[in-house]
Amino acid sequence: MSAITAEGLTRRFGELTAVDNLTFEVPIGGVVGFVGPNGSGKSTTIRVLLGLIEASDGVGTVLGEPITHPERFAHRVGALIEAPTFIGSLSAWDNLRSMAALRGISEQRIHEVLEIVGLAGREKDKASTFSLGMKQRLGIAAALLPDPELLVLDEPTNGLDPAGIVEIRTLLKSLADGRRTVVVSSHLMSEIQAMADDLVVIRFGKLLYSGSLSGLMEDAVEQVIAVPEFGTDLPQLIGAVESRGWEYTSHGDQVRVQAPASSSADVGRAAAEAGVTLRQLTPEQDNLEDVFLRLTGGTDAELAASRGEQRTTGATS
Amino acid sequence: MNSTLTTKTTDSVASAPGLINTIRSEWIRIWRPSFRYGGFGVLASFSVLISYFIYSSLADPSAAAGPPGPGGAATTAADLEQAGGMIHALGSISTLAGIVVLSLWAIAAASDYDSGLIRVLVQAQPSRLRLLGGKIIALSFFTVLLSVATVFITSAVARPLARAYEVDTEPWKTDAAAEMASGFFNFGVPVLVWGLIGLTIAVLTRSSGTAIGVGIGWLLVVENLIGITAPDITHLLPGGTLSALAAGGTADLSWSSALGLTLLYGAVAASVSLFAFRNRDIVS
Repeated sequence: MSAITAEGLTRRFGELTAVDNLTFEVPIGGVVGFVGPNGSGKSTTIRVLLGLIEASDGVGTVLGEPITHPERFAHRVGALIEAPTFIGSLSAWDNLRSMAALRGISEQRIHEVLEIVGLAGREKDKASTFSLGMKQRLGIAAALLPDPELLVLDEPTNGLDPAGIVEIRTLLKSLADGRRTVVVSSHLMSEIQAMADDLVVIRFGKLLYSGSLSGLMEDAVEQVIAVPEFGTDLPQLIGAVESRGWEYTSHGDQVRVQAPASSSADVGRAAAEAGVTLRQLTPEQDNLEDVFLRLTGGTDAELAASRGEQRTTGATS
Repeated sequence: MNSTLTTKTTDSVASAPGLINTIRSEWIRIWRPSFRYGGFGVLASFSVLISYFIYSSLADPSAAAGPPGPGGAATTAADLEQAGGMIHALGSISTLAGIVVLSLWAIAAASDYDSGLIRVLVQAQPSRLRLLGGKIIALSFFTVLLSVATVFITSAVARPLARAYEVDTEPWKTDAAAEMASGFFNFGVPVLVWGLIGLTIAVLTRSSGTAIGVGIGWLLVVENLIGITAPDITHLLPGGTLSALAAGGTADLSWSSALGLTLLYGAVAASVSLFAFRNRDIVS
């Protein structure tokens, strides 16, 4: 059984297709990154999967139950969809008590989730006095109330400072054990890369990739950047790189050698043998964002423009 | 398209939390200080101020009659010197109370959309009929408490005002309990229906501000304009009907007709809100 499956999942709003024929599978256990730029259809997909909005077409399951019957899996799923939402004039305790009452959960569980998210001792404070990071943690606490097998968090690090992001990341990794699946939606590739085991990547509502993070990162390009101390040494450096049969590109006074990061010592040695002193020798590997951009073939603006052109062409032809 | 997609979420499944859970959850949110103190405070203030206005105007010898009373008739000392006179002011309070309750229900419903809380609620309780039904029941209970408080406050302030403005309270001792119960019913039922109307507009517009604006605009502007162009049907419109029931019936609309029409408006409002809430996407 998978945590989530989608087969041809589609959601249209008038002429706009927000979710376009998505087919993917999320395995049970671990952190799954649901990645895509803002407006790519992540939130709409999550809402369709959780029964907040109906699919226009396609089928899906959550914890083995069809998404057309959310009442069959709602008690096994916790979700934080977009920003955490609370009644500011109520205390953290009363906000959680209200959610626990709705799910028929005992108040003992409120103590447990407050402990898990690190808000124990702050339960009497009004939600309106909480910082953004604390509100995020309170939102996660609410999602954890049913001790869910599937935890779906939509942009949980939005608006957080770096320390807050690290806190949430650590918390989510600790929550994803063999039994529990944590689906984290985000447009921040670096965040997902730091915590996810598996990925579902979408753009303009279409699936770009579904599988393990390591599988996607196999396509990551590794290179070693070498910069000579003096610009006049650039031809000798390039000659040394060519003599060893490495592929390279040259940008200004930089030579980017297409070689594994572990080869940086060899690059340095080759430069020294050619009598070139380097002022920079840096191994680099593509991050998820680089791989994502290569996968899509351009930035958001470029692709949006190309889509616009296609629509215009389609309309006039 | 797969046939399962055409099947709407079922609303009675053993694993889904029950209606009682939904009511308890809603009650915690309704009973928050701003809602509680706001609702009781405003209605208590209206009760005292309108009662004072009625009695003080009676005492003004230059006034040919008191302020407009229930059903539009002027309030006279004779009106007050009857069985049930201690809650006579309820008829005048009811319209303002209706606006307050309409606003409270609209805020309770639309703030879930405004804040995004609706996403969490529907995810936790996918049975939308149960979710909105629980809200309606919890808000109804809150409104009943508001109505009870208003009846008691109106009755309590009537006694010192009657003493101050020399209104004979001896008739008030006749069937006092029955008069209070009747006054509570005639006040509470229209106020509840005002609440349902507010909730319905809020579910349709998904905005508390718009819902309150539409509700008050209808009552204070649209019904008056209709009254100018088609005065024969004014008493059948929601505002006129609910006021007539609060007044215990008027010359244009008997108590029983007003009650029937009020219940019809309530049933239509509840049906529309439940239908809309069950079938619309949660896109907030």
